[in-house]
Amino acid sequence: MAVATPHIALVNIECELKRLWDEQQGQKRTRACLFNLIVFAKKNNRDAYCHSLIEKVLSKFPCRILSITEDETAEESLTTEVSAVAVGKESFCEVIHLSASHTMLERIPSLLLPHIVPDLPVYLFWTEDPTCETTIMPQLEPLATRIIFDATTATDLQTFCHSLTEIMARTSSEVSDPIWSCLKGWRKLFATTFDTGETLRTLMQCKIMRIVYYNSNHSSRRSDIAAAYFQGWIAAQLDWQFHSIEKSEGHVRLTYKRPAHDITVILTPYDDPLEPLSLPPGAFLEVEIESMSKTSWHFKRDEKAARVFVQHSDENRCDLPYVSALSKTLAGEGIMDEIFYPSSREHYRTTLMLLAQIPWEKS
Amino acid sequence: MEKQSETALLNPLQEEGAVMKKLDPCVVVIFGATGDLTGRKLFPALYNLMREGQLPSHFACVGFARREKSHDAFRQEMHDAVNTHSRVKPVDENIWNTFLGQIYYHTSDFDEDKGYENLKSMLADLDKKLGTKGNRVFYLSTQPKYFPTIIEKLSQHGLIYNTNKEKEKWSRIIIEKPFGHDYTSAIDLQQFVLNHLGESQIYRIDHYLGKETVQNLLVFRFDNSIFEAFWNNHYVDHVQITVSEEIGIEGRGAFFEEAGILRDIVQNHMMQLLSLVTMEPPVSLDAEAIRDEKVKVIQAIRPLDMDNFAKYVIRGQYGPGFVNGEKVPGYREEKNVSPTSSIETYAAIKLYIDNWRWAGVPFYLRAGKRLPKRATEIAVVFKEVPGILFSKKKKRGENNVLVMRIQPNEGISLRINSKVPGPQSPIQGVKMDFNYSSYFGLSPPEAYERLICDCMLGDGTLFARGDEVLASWRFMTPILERWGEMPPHDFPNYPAGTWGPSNADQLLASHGQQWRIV
Repeated sequence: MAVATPHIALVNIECELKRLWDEQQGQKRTRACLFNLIVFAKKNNRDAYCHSLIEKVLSKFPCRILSITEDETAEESLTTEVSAVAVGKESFCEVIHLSASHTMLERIPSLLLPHIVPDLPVYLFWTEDPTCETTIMPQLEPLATRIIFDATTATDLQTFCHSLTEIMARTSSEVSDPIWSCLKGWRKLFATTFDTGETLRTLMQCKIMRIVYYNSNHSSRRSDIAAAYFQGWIAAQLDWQFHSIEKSEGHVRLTYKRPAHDITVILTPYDDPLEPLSLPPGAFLEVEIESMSKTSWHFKRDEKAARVFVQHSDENRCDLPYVSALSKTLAGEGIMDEIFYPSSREHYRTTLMLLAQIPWEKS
Repeated sequence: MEKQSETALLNPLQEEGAVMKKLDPCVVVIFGATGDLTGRKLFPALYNLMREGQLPSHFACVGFARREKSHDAFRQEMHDAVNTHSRVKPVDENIWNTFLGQIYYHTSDFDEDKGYENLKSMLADLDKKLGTKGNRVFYLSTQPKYFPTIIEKLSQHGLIYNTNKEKEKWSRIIIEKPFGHDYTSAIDLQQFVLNHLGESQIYRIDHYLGKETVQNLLVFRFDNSIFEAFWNNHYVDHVQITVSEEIGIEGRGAFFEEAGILRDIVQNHMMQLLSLVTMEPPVSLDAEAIRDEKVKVIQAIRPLDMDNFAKYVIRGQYGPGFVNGEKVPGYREEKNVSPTSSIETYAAIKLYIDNWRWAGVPFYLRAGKRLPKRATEIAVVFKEVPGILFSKKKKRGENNVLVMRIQPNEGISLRINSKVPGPQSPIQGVKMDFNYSSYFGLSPPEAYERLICDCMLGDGTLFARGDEVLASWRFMTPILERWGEMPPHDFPNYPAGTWGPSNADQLLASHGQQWRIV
């Protein structure tokens, strides 16, 4: 049986970089770099998404991109490419693209390590399920200032969350997720709304929480995960103990226990093809909280603007609703938020630890 | 009338501040001329000096080796070598044709008296023919074991002059590293050499000192007032000096099995870098003034605590792996290397300098073969600010770092912290970067060009002095002795293409520090 000749086409990356620098200097551009961004994706899976993401990042910040694509269909293949990208009118940065078959993946770190720009942060954006890759991830992990995962790649959310908590325990790198970042606005809203003793007590006495979220595409896991993250965050911060999960007709019903009472969380996707909303998938439409003391909070998203109507009532009074601005994260900017405006590592960690107890896919 | 400087009185044509190098006529004799160094470095250096008009007008070069060869054959070989290795290519044939008439070859064994008599005659002929006036540079580009023989024979045959007696002409010897293989042998060699030459005639070459970036260390430190203020233990957290090579031993198995990386790189190159970064300002730019300060600081290095040796010294040997995507063999699979070799290809040392300036500051030195990339740099990592104002907004490892990149990508960078635009005020490290090639364009002279020229000038500033070398060996020899007593059981302990053995991280971990990515 003939053995396939490995296809190895490696440019001399250092020479190419020098050539690009000389070329760009001729065009009066300065090389600029704020950070290193390593992106890993599998071909024909997430690579197109990564490509658009890289473009978005480069449109805002000059950085060195080290893009790794694994081609699972190729026999034995390893190629490199180097290109310069203009950023603004005066500067440029470089993209080093490495493409490898699965059998050649082990060589990637040797191509990547020499070209990390020293003394600048290294962000590793792992766009595949971290539980499925053990070849190069262990070598890249120690380099990263922050590792960014995407929960939508997970085949099993519980395993994903468990895996991330293990990574957080063993590495000093920060770990984050753009979906978590997209919830920043709602987390901030809740943190500011329930920031007095009185309001916090009502939240702590919550018996039912309903989250209605926009799920424009039934196959999009992003929306489901965003809702799971948000309720998980609240549950983790208020020390609710997970008890059970049920799914029926697209709704998810979770039961948590506290010493004094049980809490029911209901996640309801909204998807009416006849009345599509002008909101991104996963956007929360409503969050309702009813407490044991018959106090209720109702948060309703304004479809047309990034703001939420907040109404509070109890058995004695009904306050006038007020409007709270919601910080907006545009599509694709979650990763940039995670790079420059990182969320609290501890909150994310405790949220993951709680979600790691919940058998999402098995219920 | 304006007061004139003393120099101007001597030569009314010499402008004040102008550097006027006056090179005496001389012959350079290269022992071991058929070796790798001659073709790769020495002849390209001589050619470029010739090309830039920096060789004496009356000059000759004689290659001395054991292999039988004609003058023309040697000239052709050197032409090809220069064409391959010169920093400026291709060879300018007009210049080469002029140079050709100054290149000669002499065949002899290193211990053959007749060979030295014949050399003496040849050199006398060249003096008459080319006007080289009896001045000699003998470059010992041979294995160290031949140094004593060659020096003795040169002395016996009157080719080395006694400086107390001979004033009309001079002779100097350039000795390649390593100078000795441990403290005792270095002392023996030093005493032997001094029996035949004065210290001023001995030029112990360390080519790192000829690099522009290394020479710039003194200018950077002592001609920029801002840096001296914080170049001390009040502001410096630690210093990392890295000499990283992606290549393996490149066929030098026989040599490396005797040497190891400690002798090959750490004892000489790294100690030079360390001394230049840590020395006190010299009283002048004279060779002796600078070398005095270098010796002082090396002598201030605290001897290693041998009871806690593993906390201060780590060694490693590379196994098979990948470098730049290519599969490479392990050290023990290299040619002329024992399959059970215990020679180190990686070494990392933590040391302290016990003087007022550096007390308490750890210095981390690491050198290795088959690491991910070629890089030599000195990184001065400064202390963290008091954690009052911005500490919570910063990511880990964001101290200010001043990096002096010796090679490649020569330059200097400083990492500072900056606010990211926006209301949330996160803080991001950014780099201010000076790159030699961007500012100064053309490739700088190679180290050997500068060094050979300085030797011809009689300037020993960029050469190691005897006491300097001995001080370095005094620190390193206990390491070699301990390693000799305790063969390693875990070799190879790092795959080629990685940053060395994992236990090297422990040197820094106890201080909450870590190796930089270079």
